[in-house]
Amino acid sequence: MRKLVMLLLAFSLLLAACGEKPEMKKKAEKTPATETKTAAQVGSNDKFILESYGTLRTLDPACGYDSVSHMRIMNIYEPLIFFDGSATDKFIPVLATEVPSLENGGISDGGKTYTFKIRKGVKFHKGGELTAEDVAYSIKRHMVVDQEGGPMWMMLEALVGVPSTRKDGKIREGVFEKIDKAVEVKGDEVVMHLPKPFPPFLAVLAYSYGGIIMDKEWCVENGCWDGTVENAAKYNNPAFGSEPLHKIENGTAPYYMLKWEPSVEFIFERFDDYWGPKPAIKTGIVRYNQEWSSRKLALQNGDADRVLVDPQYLAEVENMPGVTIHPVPQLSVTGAIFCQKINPEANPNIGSGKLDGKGIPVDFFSDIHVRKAFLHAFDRKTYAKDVWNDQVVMPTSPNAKGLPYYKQVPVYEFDLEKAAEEMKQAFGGQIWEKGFKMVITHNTGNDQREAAAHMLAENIMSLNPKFNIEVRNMDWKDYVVAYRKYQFPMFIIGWGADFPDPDNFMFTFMSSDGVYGKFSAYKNEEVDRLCKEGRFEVDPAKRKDIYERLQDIWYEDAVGCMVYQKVDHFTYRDNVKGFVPHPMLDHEWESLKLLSK
Amino acid sequence: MTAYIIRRLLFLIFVLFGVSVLIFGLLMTFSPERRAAVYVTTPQQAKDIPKLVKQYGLNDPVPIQYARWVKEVASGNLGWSLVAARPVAKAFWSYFPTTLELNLLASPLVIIVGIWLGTLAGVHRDTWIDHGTRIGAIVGWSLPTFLFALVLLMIFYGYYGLFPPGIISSDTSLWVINNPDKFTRYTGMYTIDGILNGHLWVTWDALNHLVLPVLTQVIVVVALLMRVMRSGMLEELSRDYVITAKAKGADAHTINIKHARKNALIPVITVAGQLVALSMEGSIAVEVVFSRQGMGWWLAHSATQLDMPVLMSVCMFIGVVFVLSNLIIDIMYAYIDPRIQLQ
Amino acid sequence: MEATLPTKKEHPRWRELKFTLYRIFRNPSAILGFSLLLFFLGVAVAAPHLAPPKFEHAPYQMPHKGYSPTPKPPSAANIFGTSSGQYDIYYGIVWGARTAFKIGLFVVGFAGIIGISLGVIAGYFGGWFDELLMRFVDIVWSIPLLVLAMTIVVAFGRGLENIMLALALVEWRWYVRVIRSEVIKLRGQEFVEAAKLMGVSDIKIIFRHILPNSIYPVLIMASMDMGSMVISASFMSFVGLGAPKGYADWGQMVALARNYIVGPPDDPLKFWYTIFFPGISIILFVLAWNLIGDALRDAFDPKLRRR
Repeated sequence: MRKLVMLLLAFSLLLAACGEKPEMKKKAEKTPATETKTAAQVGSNDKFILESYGTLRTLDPACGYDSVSHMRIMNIYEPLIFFDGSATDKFIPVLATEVPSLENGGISDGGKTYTFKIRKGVKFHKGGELTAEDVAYSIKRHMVVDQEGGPMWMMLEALVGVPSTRKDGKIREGVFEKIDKAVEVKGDEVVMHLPKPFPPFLAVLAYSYGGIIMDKEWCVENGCWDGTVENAAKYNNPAFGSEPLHKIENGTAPYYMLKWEPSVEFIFERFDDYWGPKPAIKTGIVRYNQEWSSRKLALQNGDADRVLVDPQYLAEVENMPGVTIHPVPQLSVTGAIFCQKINPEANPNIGSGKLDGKGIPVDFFSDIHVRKAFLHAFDRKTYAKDVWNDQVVMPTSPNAKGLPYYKQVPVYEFDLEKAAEEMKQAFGGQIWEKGFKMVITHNTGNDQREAAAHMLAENIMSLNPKFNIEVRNMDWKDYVVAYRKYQFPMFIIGWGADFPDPDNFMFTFMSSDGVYGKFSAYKNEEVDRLCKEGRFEVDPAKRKDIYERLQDIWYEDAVGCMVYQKVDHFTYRDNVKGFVPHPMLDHEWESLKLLSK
Repeated sequence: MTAYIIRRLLFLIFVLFGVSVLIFGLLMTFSPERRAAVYVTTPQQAKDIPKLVKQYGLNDPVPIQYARWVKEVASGNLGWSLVAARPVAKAFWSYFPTTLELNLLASPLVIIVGIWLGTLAGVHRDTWIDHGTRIGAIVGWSLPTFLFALVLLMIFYGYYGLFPPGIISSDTSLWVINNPDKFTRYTGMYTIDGILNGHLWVTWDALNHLVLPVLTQVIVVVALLMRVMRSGMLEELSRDYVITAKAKGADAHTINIKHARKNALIPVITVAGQLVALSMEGSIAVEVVFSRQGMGWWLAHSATQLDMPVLMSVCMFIGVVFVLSNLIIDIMYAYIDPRIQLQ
Repeated sequence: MEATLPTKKEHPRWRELKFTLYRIFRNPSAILGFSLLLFFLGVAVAAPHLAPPKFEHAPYQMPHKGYSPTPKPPSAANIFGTSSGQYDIYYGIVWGARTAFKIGLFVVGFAGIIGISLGVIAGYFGGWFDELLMRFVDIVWSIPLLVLAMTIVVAFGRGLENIMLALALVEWRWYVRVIRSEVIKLRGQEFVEAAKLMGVSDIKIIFRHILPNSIYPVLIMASMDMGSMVISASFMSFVGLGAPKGYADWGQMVALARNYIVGPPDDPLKFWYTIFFPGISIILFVLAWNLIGDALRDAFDPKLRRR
């Protein structure tokens, strides 16, 4: 027994020694520490720290399709053009020397040919100079990769006319030849040929989802596509994580990646050979911090220059001294979408699945009176005030405010009497007589959607004691799977712009081919026709008519209940200057080169 | 003895197989679409879910999927962790040191404090010392860990600006990156690397960030040890040899410390597994609240986000550690107590 | 005369029980534990009267006025204040008592029944069943409890029912081990051997001799578990797998209130009520069960009880 005790004690002493030794010695060594500290503090005017909780998936510009990847990629690489300030339809040249337009001849052939003059004297982080060949290679390479779940459908739609390089799991015949021919080099210029005019093309190029420029030689050295049509299939659709540029970079932007420690920190360092003006911030650090209280204290103590603030905590930083908040309305809307043909198979959300007071029939929401009753039960004013402290835009249709052809269509005002009136007419009065039972599900962790679900449920239940709605929550990923199986009577979900165009929203929410339209089982021939026509229409006046009509139909058909248009609050210490808001760039965004302290 | 050890090591293979089948079976209860949704982070990507199911063969019969996984692991590929955005093996080595560092500092404190308090309570049974320490321990333990961690954070970091969260300050971290010739990451633990490289201020900085996490961890885990120690003490103090010693006139201190406490330590070993489990639970909350991404954080996220390769590999790793540590405990037992024979 | 003897003298088991009760209530901390338990039991039973539910079909849903995410301090309408989302904390505490008992009783009951029956069978009969079961337990044992529980909850879906199920599914292994080792100790003892020789059936032996003599450690463990399961459930809420926001569950209330522990810089304790009431409820509830468990241990343990 004594041996055991000795063993235990020796072990703990050893560990204690490991832990305590440095503490005892630290006093003797304190001088260098303080020296380093002061040195760092003098220079801390050029250091910027952002604390957020988004995790970076990949640095490969062909594969990253979320705002976290976008932020990292856009601070390391550069596109040909970028948004001008806060505008979504005006651009500034970046690696091109001018933005193509009808006036300067950059856009020709009725909107089917785009010509970019390439900037000279641009250096990559790891050496090498930018050429037109690099530009053409980059644009093509992204399309060749076309990872499943990636963003390349936009470029492919624009330049090749198909949304994917594959069909039914096999590579489309001749798709790589088409990609190769779509982009060509003419001296210092790169010319892109579109099969059909694609109005949002410039906006797609300004984002990281296809418009990022890389160094061809470096890419090929690091295992990317070699540039030949024959070999392209080998580089198509890599598995997640095996994309060759996953964790390395060689961009032209004013920052290069110093270090990426996943879910801990990502460090940007200023690139001294940058072609443009030298930015004020030398080191940019994005630190992962999941816990709100911890982020808040970091902001309060000045240990972070900016932290991510979710809307429900906004009130806690509003009056914090030394903090500036920039509200930025986003091109991102959330709506409750009614499913007009619910899947009854093993579905816990519709009770008995019949009109007998213990469930709802599968076509419950195909009756417009039921839809109107729910719309009348949503108290927009209280919702905006209570949930968002009135810091929100309440949309009237999926076409978010700030998009072209935005129109304020009428809404079904909050009126419980009218809601009851509609319910009495639904299913020939049977709903009112027998009552019903159903479940509204929202995705876990989104307080704003949760509140909307509760509001709808409670207001509808107050109409008639026989109405019974339970509110449940589900992980976002389960949620995505379930709504795609037509399992929810209604689903509350958001959509952020891929490019600032009404097509991206109206098609998604309303068309029977759209991501949400399809799973709401809503079908209207006129809507489908208009959505198709609108996408490729070049005449702005005609487009205006099309999209305004679609927005009117949203109201007339009571397709769904728009809940909110997101406003992100960029929260800085007030010594940080230079932030430029943009409705396409959500709270994960930061442009380091614009900032100064 | 040798035969026993060999048998236990063979058993290890069985455990590995069992653990992997169990976890794999559990994960296979998710629909193929749900497992494909793991790769999806934005509403936009959702439309590719059916294609992802096909690409990764998630709809194949379960034994085929299992065989595919075994084949990959056998060729040394543990898979890709989506949570960590790294291969599992690589991510393991970046997260493991963080957790190890925390527990290297916390466990000696837990052992010392736990044994001391347990002895104290046992010796002074049914007095106010006993009730006080027990109720104190229960209160400390019945507060959820995250709550305790947050309160500490608010008091020290919020009020006094001391002990910031994170692993190390950004200045130090930057200095380390920019001076790869002066500072080598031997172990991945800043405290130890600081000593090894002779830059003790790095160690000091790292310790500064460790004070609150260690404190939280100790308070969470110490109650269990204390309880076991106390009942061990009570048992020993009622034994004949103690009574004999008392009768012989040995003073209370000698009896308590020299005889009873030593023997009472033995049952403590039996709860070692439980202690490790508790530390694990503590680590998760501590790592989330203090923003120290380590194994606990990684596992919790992998479990809630269905990061299959991580769950499989790490659970098997823990299984190995568990079986080996039990083996060591058994051998220690046999070594200490000649009455026990391993067969 | 022979017939009167047993009635005159107390049955030995009854006598032991009386002594046990005496031993328990000699201990002041046990009295404290039992009074706390009685209090919570009272609150749980009287919940519909203390806080009448708004919707009869969903009594665990906390009522709320408005949707504002900022908690409001105690007032006449909400004597304990409101949490984020304006849920009435008082209502949550009252109905949360029921939830706490539900969690404890379900997990301990389920795990206990499975664990005890498997453990007794394995320990008493031994053989291939014992071998098989213990190897299975070994496997389950080497998976971290919380990881297993979390994966199960994710698999079955979020919510309190599934948390309870998951905790029960990982907790039974404790009971198997404890009771099995007790049974093995008893199996070889003379009185069991004697009963066997006399031709008493195995079932009778198990229920008359084995169970009553091996149940104490399980009882102690069960009483501790009743409390600690509430904490484990709150940990699940912390990692985001808990009951929905407005559900009356202390653990979830504490987990959701964690974002309000740190108040604004000028008034750091502004939101104390969101954390204090559910926090103190959990502490007292766990404390009650632990004190009882400690008292049971002291009273039942044959080595300690005669001291």
